[in-house]
Amino acid sequence: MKYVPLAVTLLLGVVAGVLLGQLPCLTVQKTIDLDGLSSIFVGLTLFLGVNLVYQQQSTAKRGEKDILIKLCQDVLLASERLDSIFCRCYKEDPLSAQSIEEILGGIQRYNNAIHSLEVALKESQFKRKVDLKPIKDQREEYRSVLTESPFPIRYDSGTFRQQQRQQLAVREECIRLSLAVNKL
Amino acid sequence: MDTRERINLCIAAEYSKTPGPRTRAEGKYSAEEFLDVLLLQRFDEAVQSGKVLCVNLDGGYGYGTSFLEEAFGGLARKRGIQAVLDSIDFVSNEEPYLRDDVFSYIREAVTGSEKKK
Repeated sequence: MKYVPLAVTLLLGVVAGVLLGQLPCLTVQKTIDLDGLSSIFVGLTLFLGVNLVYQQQSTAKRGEKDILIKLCQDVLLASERLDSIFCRCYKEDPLSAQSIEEILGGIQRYNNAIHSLEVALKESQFKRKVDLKPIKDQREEYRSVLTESPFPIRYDSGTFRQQQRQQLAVREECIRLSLAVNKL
Repeated sequence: MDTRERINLCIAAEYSKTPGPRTRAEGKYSAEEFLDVLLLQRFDEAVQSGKVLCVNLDGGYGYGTSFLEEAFGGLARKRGIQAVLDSIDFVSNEEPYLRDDVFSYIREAVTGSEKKK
């Protein structure tokens, strides 16, 4: 499939050449000499070489984009798991040791997912084009909502709504990031 | 790179694997208690001997924002932000980003405490 654009371009070139040859002001030489042949050979070699380099770069770029988008999805998944853990535990008063451990584990997974995204972005060619500051600030804010006192004793009554607000912010930020990476 | 000698403080081994809330009134293993009983003493010892206090955050179940802010932000409020930044370092292999977070609590120690109120 990747050769289709190449074949179409070649066909268009041939058609354009034939049509140009029909113009009355142009004289087309019906034979070709050694100079012409070598010019065609050099031109074709250059074209194929440039195309090969471009294809390789394009494939690497596409691969990096795919990895970054996958890592954005991982962040989203980790936040959804954290939401599920929180919704299961937040009514406990006091919070059990198991719930505290699960919540802190969920936060660690979510934070690790963002950290992995950051590491991948630094290694990619897009490191200056995508801004991770909003999602990192949001990570800290989310952590603060889930672990501010009276945690780890219990949660205040308003924490559920704050937590849902944070979930929404995570989703919005992950969508923004994925679209930003896709546009590159 | 800082070549000064280090004094180590491992929270999980020397205080608790399950650090608690912000204040003593809220429950056991609080940040307030950690600051008063262990951190201040160890920090002063490091400063007086010209060493760096190296706090190891690994080994526990995890830390709440309130615990970290009260302990290390509280240390900065009591000893001064620059003095703390000059004489403290952190090891956090389990959560690498925690080190930056704690340094930001120290840098924002004053505004952080105002936010809390």
